[in-house]
Amino acid sequence: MFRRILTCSALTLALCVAGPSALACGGLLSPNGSVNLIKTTTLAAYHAGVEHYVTSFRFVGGGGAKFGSIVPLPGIPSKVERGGDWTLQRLVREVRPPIFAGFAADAPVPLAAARMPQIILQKRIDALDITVLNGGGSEVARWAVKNGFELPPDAPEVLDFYASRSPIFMAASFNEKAAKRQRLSEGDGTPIHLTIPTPSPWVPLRILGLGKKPAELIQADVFLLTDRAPSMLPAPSGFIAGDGRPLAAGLRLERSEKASVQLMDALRVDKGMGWRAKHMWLSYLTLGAAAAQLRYDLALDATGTGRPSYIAAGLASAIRRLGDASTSRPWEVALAIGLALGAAVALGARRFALR
Amino acid sequence: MKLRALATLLLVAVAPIGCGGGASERAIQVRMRYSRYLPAMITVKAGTTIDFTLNNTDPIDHEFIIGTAAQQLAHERGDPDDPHTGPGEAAIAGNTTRHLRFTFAEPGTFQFACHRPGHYAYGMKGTITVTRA
Repeated sequence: MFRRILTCSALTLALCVAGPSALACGGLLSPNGSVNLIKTTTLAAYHAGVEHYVTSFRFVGGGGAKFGSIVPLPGIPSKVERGGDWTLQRLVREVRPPIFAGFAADAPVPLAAARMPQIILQKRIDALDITVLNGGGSEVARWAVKNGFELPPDAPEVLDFYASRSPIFMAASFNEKAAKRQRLSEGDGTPIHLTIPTPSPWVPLRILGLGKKPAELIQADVFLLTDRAPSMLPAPSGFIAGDGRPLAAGLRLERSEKASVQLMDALRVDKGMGWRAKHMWLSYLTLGAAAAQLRYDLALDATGTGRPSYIAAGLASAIRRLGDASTSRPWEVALAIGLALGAAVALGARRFALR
Repeated sequence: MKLRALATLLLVAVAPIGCGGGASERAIQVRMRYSRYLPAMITVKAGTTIDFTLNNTDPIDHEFIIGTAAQQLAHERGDPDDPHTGPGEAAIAGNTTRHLRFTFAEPGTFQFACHRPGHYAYGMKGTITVTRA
C-alpha cells in the first residue's frame, strides 16, 4: 500500500516519448494515447518565504515506451536534491494509519528559428535526469519536442497557462542506462525535493489533467505544512473562507490541524527536512475531479493576511473575462457578478411582467 | 521581336492551365492555435480552387487533412506515422506555415482534421461546406 502510494508523484505533466526508457508520475500517457491513471501524492511546505516541494517520480520500466514529466514551479529553485525516503509515506500514515499495529511498510518505492528556453540547472539524481528551464510555454514545449518528447494536444495551452505566471519548469525523465545500473524495478520511486524561494506559493493542480479526456477522474493527495493554518484559493470544500471566494471543484480539505509531535519528529530526521519549524500546521487535501473541472491551481497565503493570490491560483484569466484583473479586487468581481446576475433577473422579471 | 512573339505564344498556351478551365480561385488562411483550427467552419463554392495558408502557431506538429467523415475515421484508425503527402493532405511542423491547394469539384460536406495521436479526439477538426457554383 505504502509502496503504491510512494510511487506516485504529484503535479506532473506527462509527456509521452517514442524512446527507450521510462519515467512516470501523475497522469501518465503512453505513446498510443492510452492513459494510466495513478493517484499522486505531494508535499508543499512553506516556511520563512521558501516553498519546499517534495514529490516522487516512478520508474515504469525500460524497453518500451518512454515517459517524461514537466512540473511547473512558482520560482527558480535554489536547491534540487533527492528527497527524504519516508517523508511522503509518513504523511500518508498520519492521515491513513495502518489498521494493524506493527504493520511494516513496503520498501519505498525544430524549430531552428524559434527561441529555446534557458537551461538553469541540469542534474542527475539517482537515475532521474532533472532539467530546470526558464522560458515561455512555447519555448519549453520546443525544448521538450527537441528532446524527443511528444506533447499531447492540450500541452500548448496548459504550458502557456503556467508560463503566464511563472516561466520556470522542471523536466524530469529516467535515464535508462543509469536505471539499469542501479537495477531499478518497475514501480521504484525517486523522491525529489525542491527548495523554491517565493513570496507567493502555489501548488500546481491543473497540470495533472494534461492529456486526459475531459471526463477522466484525476486523483491526488496534497499535504501542506505551513507556519499557521493557510488560506487557500480556490477554496476546497470543508474550508470556510467566509468571503465568497470561488470553490475548487473536486478538492476537499480532509484534515486541518496542528501537526502532531510524532509527525514532526519523524520528518525531522528524514533527509533534507531540517528546514522545518518546530511547530507547523498540517493540511491534508484530496483531489477527485474530472479533468475538465481542473482549471485551477491551489494558491496559499500562509502569512496570516488571508488573501491568497488569484494570479497564483491561475484564476486571473477568468477574472479578466469579467473585467480588468489589474483593477478589480475579488470582492469587486463578486459584486460585478452579483450586479450582472441581479440585472439579468430584473430584466427577465420585467419581460415576464410585460407579457 | 521573334522572342516577344514566342513569349506571347507561350503565355496564351499556359493561360488555360492557370485558369483551370474557368474555375475560380480563393485564398483562405487557417490558423492552428492550442490544437484548434481558426476558422473551424469554411464555406466554398464547387469548382473553386482554394489556396490554404496553414499557419501553425503551436510549438507542436499538426496536420491538415481534407476528407469526408468516413475518410477521417479511416485516417484516425490508420498508421500514425503516415506522412500525409497525398492530395488535400499537409503536415505542418510546429511554428511553421505551409500552403495547400485543393479544388472542391462537387458540392458536399467535408472535414479537415489533424490525426496526430490524440488530436482528433481532442477536437482538432473543422468543416468545409461546398455549395453549388
